[in-house]
This record gives sequence, structure tokens and C-alpha cells, in this order.
Amino acid sequence: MRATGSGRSGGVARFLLRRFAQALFVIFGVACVTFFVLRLVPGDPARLMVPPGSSEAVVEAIRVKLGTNLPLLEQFWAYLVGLVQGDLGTSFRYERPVLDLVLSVFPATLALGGVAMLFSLLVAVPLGIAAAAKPGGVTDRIVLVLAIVGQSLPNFWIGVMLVLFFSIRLGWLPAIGNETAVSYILPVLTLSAVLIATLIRTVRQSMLEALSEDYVRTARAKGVPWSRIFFVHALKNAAIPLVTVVGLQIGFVLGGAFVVELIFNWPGVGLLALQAISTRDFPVVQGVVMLVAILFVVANLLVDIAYAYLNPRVRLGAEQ
Amino acid sequence: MIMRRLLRPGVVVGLVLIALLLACTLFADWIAPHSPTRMAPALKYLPPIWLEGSDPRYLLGTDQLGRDVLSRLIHGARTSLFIAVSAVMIATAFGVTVGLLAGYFRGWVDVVIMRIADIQLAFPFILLALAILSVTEVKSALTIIIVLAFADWVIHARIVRGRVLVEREKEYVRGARALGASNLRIMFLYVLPAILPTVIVIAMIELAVLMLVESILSFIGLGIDPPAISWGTALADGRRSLGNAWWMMVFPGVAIFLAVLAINLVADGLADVLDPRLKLSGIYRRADRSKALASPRTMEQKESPLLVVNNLSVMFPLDDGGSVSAVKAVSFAVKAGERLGIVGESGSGKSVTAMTVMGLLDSAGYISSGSIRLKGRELVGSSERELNRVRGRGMAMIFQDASTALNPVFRVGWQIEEAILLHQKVSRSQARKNALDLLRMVNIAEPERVAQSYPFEISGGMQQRAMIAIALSCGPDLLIADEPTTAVDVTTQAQILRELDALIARLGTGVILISHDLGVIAEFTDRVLVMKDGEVVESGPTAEIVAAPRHPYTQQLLAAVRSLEGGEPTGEKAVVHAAG
Repeated sequence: MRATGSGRSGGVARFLLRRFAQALFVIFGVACVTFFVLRLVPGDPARLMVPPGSSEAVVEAIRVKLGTNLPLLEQFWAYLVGLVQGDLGTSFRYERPVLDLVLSVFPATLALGGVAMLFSLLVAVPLGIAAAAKPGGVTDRIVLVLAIVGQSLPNFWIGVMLVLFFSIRLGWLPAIGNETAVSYILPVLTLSAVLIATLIRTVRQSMLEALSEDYVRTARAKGVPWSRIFFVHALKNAAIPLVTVVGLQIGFVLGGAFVVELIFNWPGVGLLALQAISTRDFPVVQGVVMLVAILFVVANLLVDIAYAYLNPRVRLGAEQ
Repeated sequence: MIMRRLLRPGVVVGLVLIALLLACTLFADWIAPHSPTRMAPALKYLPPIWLEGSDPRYLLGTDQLGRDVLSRLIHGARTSLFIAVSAVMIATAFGVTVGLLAGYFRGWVDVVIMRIADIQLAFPFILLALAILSVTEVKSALTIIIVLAFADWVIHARIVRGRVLVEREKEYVRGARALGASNLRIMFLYVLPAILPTVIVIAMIELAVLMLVESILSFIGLGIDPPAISWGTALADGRRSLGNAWWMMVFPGVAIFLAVLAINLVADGLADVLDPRLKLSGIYRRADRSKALASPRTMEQKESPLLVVNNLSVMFPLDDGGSVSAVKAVSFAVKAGERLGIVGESGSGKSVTAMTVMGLLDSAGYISSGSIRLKGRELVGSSERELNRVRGRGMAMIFQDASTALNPVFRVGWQIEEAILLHQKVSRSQARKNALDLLRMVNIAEPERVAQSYPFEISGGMQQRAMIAIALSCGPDLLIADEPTTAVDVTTQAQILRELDALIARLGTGVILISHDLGVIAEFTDRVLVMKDGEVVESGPTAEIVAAPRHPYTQQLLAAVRSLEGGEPTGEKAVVHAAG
């Protein structure tokens, strides 16, 4: 555990390499699960795609087109080979490669999720810190009530309520689409409500935990003023669990985007997937699931890098 | 006491709401004013009764088919709750079993299970449910339950595994293993009951989550097939009629919100009692300074001692409203350059006394009477700002365990420089230089390297030396050392104590050395205070007390040292030391 320059960067490289390998493994696992879940669940996609009462010949033709007539392992192999080459199949409905299709709508989801995450952090971090500054105080109580209410609200319901009030009743904000900056307001609020509740609690809890650590007592014994203990000694430690939670919440944002996109007719992957489900466009469903899962893994890889940056234990390869 | 903590207003509200929910589930047929499925096209889109055009028979209005909204809500409670509860039960049973196996057996079992869990966690929860439901032809209650349970087990498994990893190393499990209990028996008869509180709390939290997820699935059209009624399907209907009948959207949403809120409130209350680490909204207590009573009594002083503690009492409030005194009317003084030892077993109040002198009393504790004067300045009742001018410069402290007392995310050098910059008007580069000098002074061989290191990168002995360097950084008049070497190994212990001894002799610092070990006290102090149950039972020059202890407790402490050191009378060494 030498603390020389080369030893340090070596630690980071090793850490990142390990995380990268793990991410690859998880992506492979995701590919397997996606494939087998969609194949093994009772229900024949081909049969779902034809009108009820269609002849067996028609269904069989669809099976051939889907490739589901082949033995399972053969299908799996073809699927994996395609995946490595970036081939996720072809959409029935749009007659376009699934990858193209998904990538064309990805920026809209990314923009929505990104803005919502940013907005949530901007709201939750100061509020969580303010609550932790005086536990049991007025701010703390209000913040905690907001957090538990936020966590108990179905996000889609908040969305519809916002539309009902601001679009239908007042006519102030657009109810659908993503053409203008104003159209971000309602979807972002919808997606952020629950997220803010979770993040506030995390920030508050990790601040309080950091403040109860021994090193805070040491700092007080040194004569460090409370504000400095709070914003320097505790905050830097509290940022570490926050980063982890943000990483996990990326999954929540992506999942939540499905619902929000449906409500606001937001042309992103969620809307694409839901439409694909209702039109039985299975390659698209599979493609979206794969890509969202990969995005989530990659996002968590980035979070790990941020985590390593904040936490010298991890950065220098001493992680337990 | 537990009942009192459990029955907070939030929890009571939660329980009442849950009771209401259960009543709806069990007695829907009797409570609901109408059949939830009876259609009356002529009565469609009737508003709630407080609006114009309503029908008094339909309290919350009707939907697009003229069905009673309230009755559908009451019946929907049954489906929503049934699905969520069943799914949670399956997920818990499976997750807990798998988590137990992973945590208990570790090794490859753990690796396999946790990698699977990782993969599953790579799917956003909803996405997984969505993928499965998109290819399922029939969406019965059972399908939804299985899907939800399948998506949820991993949460339970991970948390249980974490708890089991800790639990399996505990005494009672090792004991059972030593007695030859089978693995199965240990896991389910010993470990499981220990982690059960956590399991229950997680199940409650996840119940709330699954109720929300179920409603989301129904809302996006992947919920239970009609004619089954759930709150989610009611909302999906409501969305389609948004322009015509807002009440169809509002009331089911409110119902879900209240149900989930109730479960969350109860989960929170349970967590408070069963497993505080999991609770959503902990209220931490901080020192209530208004309770600190300053009763300064001037003492007759022949010479002006460095520190005078007079009649100090410290109380800690108890959960039941009473309080317990940890320090009872303790008085002592330390002269400049003098070394005072405070000895006693854990719980004797010696550490609390030291913390109180530093103004670092833990959270709830407070000074009920007494005075603490450092160089004539009264510290009891001083503001934090005033204390901060004294702490670090007038008096400094070395803590028990340097591995936790140093901040893990800042470099060692930074932590020393901070103390210097706070109390001395020096430049940053000068502070850096001083910090390196201090590290050299505490016998650290490579000060530059250690200054650049994070605490975890250096050995326990080095951490303790760094801690000493921080404490001495501003040349304090008084140094309080609370069991300064208990966390390091025995050889390092003796070495560090000797170095510290020489160092403070050179600097002329007054010292309070706190220890449970009378041997250490005998070797390094001039005078000693023997404490038991918060009181001083004996005090005087160390040499005298070690040579001829009067109080039986002191005799016991001494006997303990002698038996440990194989009968060698530690006292004589101390006498020699004190005389020399």
C-alpha cells in the first residue's frame, strides 16, 4: 500500500478495470435474462401478434420471421452474435433496425431524465443539509413530512394531477410533447417528486451519520467552528453515500420515464416501448429493455468513478 | 417504553388508515353502497355530491359506465392489497432464504447469488415487470403477484445477507457451531430470529413500494385484466375520462396515496423500535445547552492551577423521562506541567469527566452543576464559539481510537494544518512546514509521506502519533489523553506512551491521563484520581496511593495489575519513577 504517485494511479486503474469487467459481466447477464424472460414466459409472441382465430400457418410464418421456431439455444446464440455486432433485430411495425429506432428516441429520454435528476439534486441537497443542521427543528420536521408524503405518492398520479390543473384548468403549460423548454416543466416535476423525497432523506441521513462520527469530535476538540465541521468535515463524508444512492436512482428515473412519457406523450424510449408492447412489436420491446439496462449499467460505472474520486479508500485500492 | 415509542401520532394515523383498508378488504360487500360492476349508462359521469348535477346516492360520483366510484374504490382495495401483500410475502420468503444462504455459507454460494442479484438490479424494477408482462397473455392476479415478487426478492436478499454476515460472527452463533449444531439449525433457529426485526421492517417498506408499482402497471395497461377492479385500473379508466370526470382520477389516487402513506408511517414506527438503522425519519438529539446550569463557586486558591474542576456533576436523560448521573460532584485540579491520572473501569465516569472538561459531552448529556475553570476562565456555560477559542490551543485531546478519530477523507497533513491555521496567524506554507515538524517530533520517520497519506494508509501506531501531533500542534497548556493507546498493540503502546512522556516533559504541558490500567497511571502520572460509579473514591499523589491504597476498589485495581504482571509490584516502579 505504497502512497507513491505510481501506486496511486495504479490503484485507480485497477479499481476501474475491475468495475469495467464487472459491468461487462452484468451486461452479459442482462442480455441472458432479457432473452430468457421473453422466451420462457408462457405465451407465444407469434400468436399474440396475429388476430385471434388466425390459422396455424399464419402463426408459423410469424414464428419463422421472429426466429422463434428454432431451438432455444440456437436462437440464443443468434441473439448473442447479433448483439455483439450491434444488431438487435428489426422492428415489425417500422421495418427499421431496432437499434436505430431506439437510438433515435434516446436523446429525448436522456434529456428528460437528466434534467429531472439535476433538478432533484438542486432541491434535495440543500433541503437535506438544512434539515440535518438542526435535527428535530422546524425545517427538519417540514422536510421529513414532505419526504414521507413524496414517497407515498404514485408519480403518474402527480403527473396527471399537474396536467389537470396547469394544462386543462389553467391552460398555462402544455400537456404533451417536448418541443419547447416550457414543456419540460410538468414532466420534470412529475419525475422529480418522488426522487426529491428519496434524495432528501439520503442527504439528511448521511449528514447526521457523518456528524455522529468520532472525527467530528476530534474536529471539535481542535476548535473547528461548527459551520466548518458541518460543511467541510461532515459534508465530504456524507457525499459518499449520496453518490451511491444517486446511482441507484438512475434506474428509478429510467423506470419512471416510461410512465411520464406515456402521460405527456414524450417521444422517448418509454413511449416507444409501451407502443411496441401494445402493437406486439417484440424485437423493439427486447431492444429497449436491453439498451435501458445497458445505460443503467454504464451510468453506474460513471457513478463508481465519482465514488472513487470522493472516497480515498476506494481510489487507493483499499476497498474492503 | 416500546409501546410509547411505537404509538407516536404518525404511527397511530398509519394504523387507523390500515385498519380502514383492512375493513374495506374484508367487508367490501357490506360497506360498498352499490355493486362495483353494476352499469347504468344513464348515470354516467355523475360528479361527487357536493357539485352541481350530482346524485345523492353516489357520494364520489360515477364513472364512464355509470358505476359508483366509491364502491369501486372499496372493492379495489381488496385487489390492490391482496396482490401487494401476497407478492411481498413470496418475495420475503424467497429473498430471506437466499440471503441467509449467501450470508451464512459465503464462498461460491454467496458469489453466485450476489452476481445474480447484481444482474437483476441492473434492470430498473418497472422494466423487468414490463418485459415479463408484455409477453403474458393472461394477466391474472397470480401473474401480477409472481412478477412483482420476482422483481422484488433481490432487495430482501441483499439486506438479509448483509445482516447475516455480521450476525454469523457473533458469539452466540460461534457458540452454537462449537456445540455442533447443524447449519440448518443455526440459520433458522439462531440467526433468523436475530434478523427478524429487519426482515419485518423491509417487508413493510416493500409492501408500500409494491402497492405503488401495482398501480403503475395497471395505469400503463399492464395490470390485472378486467373485470377485476384494482385502484390502478380505476386510474387507467380515469385517465381516459380526464376531460369529463376529474373525480375518476383524483379519488383512486388519493386512496393509493393514503394507503401507501399509512404503510410507510407504520414501517417507520416499526423501524424506530425494531431496527433504527432503517428508519425513514430519525430525530437525533443534540446537546441542549439551555439545560447546562452554571453555578460558579470560586475556590480558595493558594497558587493558580491550570485547571480547576469543582463539584462537577453530569446527567444523562433516560428514555422514560428520568435521568441518570454519570459524574457526581467531582472536584480536582491540575497545575501547570502536572500530570493527573484518572483511573477506573468502564462506566466509572472517567471518560465523561474528560469529555465534559473539553466541552464535548455526547448528545443528550448535560452539566447539572459545577464549574470548570481553565487558567481562571469559566468554561461551564460558555458558548461554542468561546469554547472553540480554547479548544486546540488552551487544551487539546488525544482520543482512544485514532482510526475513527481521524477524518477518513482528508489527508493526515491537512488535518494537522487545519488546527494550526485555526489558532495561529501563519501562512499556509508555514503551517505545512509546522505540520511536518510535528510529525517529526512524534517520531514519524517519513513525515512527507505520512502527511500526504490518508489515515487508512498508515498503521495504527502512526495514526495514533498523527493524533498526538494534532493535539500538540498549537502547544496546548493542558493535554487530555483518553486511553490513548488502547487501540494499538502492546509493544507500540508502551513505546508511544514513553515518547509522549518525554515529549510533554519537554514541552511542560499539563496532562490528564485517563486509563483503566493502574499500571499505566502509576508509571506516567504525578497524582491520581480513582473513580467508581461517577464518584471519586480516592485521590492523592500516585506514588502514595499505589504504595498504600486505602479504598478497597483501588486495591482491586492494583491487584488486577499485579496478577497480570506476574506478581511484580508495579507500585515500586512507580515510586522510583515519581521520585526520580
